[in-house]
Amino acid sequence: MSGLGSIALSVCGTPVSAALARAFEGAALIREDDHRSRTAAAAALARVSEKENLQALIHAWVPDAALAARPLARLDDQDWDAGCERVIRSTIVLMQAAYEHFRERGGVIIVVQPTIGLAGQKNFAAYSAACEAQRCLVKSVARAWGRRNIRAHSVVAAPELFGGEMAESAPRESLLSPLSLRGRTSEALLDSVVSTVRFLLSDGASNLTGTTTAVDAGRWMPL
Amino acid sequence: MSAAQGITCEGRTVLLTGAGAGLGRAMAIALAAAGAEVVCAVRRPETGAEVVKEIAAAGGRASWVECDIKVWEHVERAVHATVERSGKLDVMIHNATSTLSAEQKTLEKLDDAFWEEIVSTNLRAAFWCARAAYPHLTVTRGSLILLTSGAGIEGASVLPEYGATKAAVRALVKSLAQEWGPDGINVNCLAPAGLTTAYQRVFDQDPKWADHIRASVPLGRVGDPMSDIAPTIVFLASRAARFITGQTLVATGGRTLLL
Repeated sequence: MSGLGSIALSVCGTPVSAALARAFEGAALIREDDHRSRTAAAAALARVSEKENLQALIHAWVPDAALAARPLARLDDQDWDAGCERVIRSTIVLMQAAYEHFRERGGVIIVVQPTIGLAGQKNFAAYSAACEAQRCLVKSVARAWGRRNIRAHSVVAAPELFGGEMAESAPRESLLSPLSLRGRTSEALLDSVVSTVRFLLSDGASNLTGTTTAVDAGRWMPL
Repeated sequence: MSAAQGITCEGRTVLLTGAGAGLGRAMAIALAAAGAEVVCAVRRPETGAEVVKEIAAAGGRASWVECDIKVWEHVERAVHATVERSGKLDVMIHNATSTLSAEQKTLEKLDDAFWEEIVSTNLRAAFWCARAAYPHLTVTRGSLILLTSGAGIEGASVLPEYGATKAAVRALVKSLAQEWGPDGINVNCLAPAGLTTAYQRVFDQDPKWADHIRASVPLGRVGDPMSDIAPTIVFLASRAARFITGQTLVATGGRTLLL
């Protein structure tokens, strides 16, 4: 991005989150408590922008509850909220808070999530639903806020990069994939996630918005 | 005559939420005309009684159960009532949505109360319908059908919360198709662009919006609930669709092209 400002990076304990935190060393880290409400999110992003204008929000947070495999029939309402609705609410309040900073100067919102929203994943129904809601929110704000030079993107990455039981349950390869994941290390895929995010933040991507980029060596091919 | 000529739901017991008005009412009538026994889950008893009366007058089989889909106990009770009356449940359809679901606002204007209204009716209720129906669908190797929308596929600048919940439903269907496939249950979405109660409310408020919507549909109209939309739900609820799972059937007159 030209005229570098600050980046807010919403993180958790997943490998992909750690890789983003390493790559964007100067980014202000947004924690779980910072997106429990609209007020909390607004306060968190206000702190980030105290010294420099906020230019980008990267939301890569995944709750631990979302990474545990469990059939839908065994989910209670609390499980559902933790694995699904809480994730959507976090995305909404962070986007709303970012809008207040971006509406005059523009900015970039990137949501990083596993591919399970695109393709579904048994025993992860709640979180898969949340992922697709996030991806649709990205499209909706890309449409609504584009005239304010606010861009929004989804980066959907191989489930292996999110750890937990999700990583263990991910298929290792697909007959439909032109690039088998076999032989491709998680480190290489993590590097690709970082590279993709860097590109989407750059001026080279200034005419792109509302996109979904899959970083999974070709297992899934979204539009 | 069945709305979906040649497609039969004979012998199928269907529980349908939001059956009292709009698309749901048309679906109930069409499903019964196709031979299904329909249990109409309705928030307002008088609407359920009217639909059941109309179905019975046409020679169909239907009953109604009071169900506010924002209350888990009501959803559970509707499923139990269906199984008590019919001895089984073949098809669970979650169609009900909020009458406010077409209210337009961009994301920065969304507040907690409006979000709760939309997420509870569209998404949490879909989860509840799935959870309550699952034990019975395993017995019949039946079907779960959830209503989604073009807004849940392409996003919508002025319906972001609605689009998000409808997108979530699509992923729910894909995950459950994988999870429940070994039980013989198929799980699908229908994305209609039909003249719903919510749509009509917006059109009444702003006729220009109706013109805008119609202009964006290649077939030039918003779908008629009975002749354009109901046949698609009859197909998905029938055994003719038994090898289709994890899919979204888009009935939007060509308005939604990016599946």
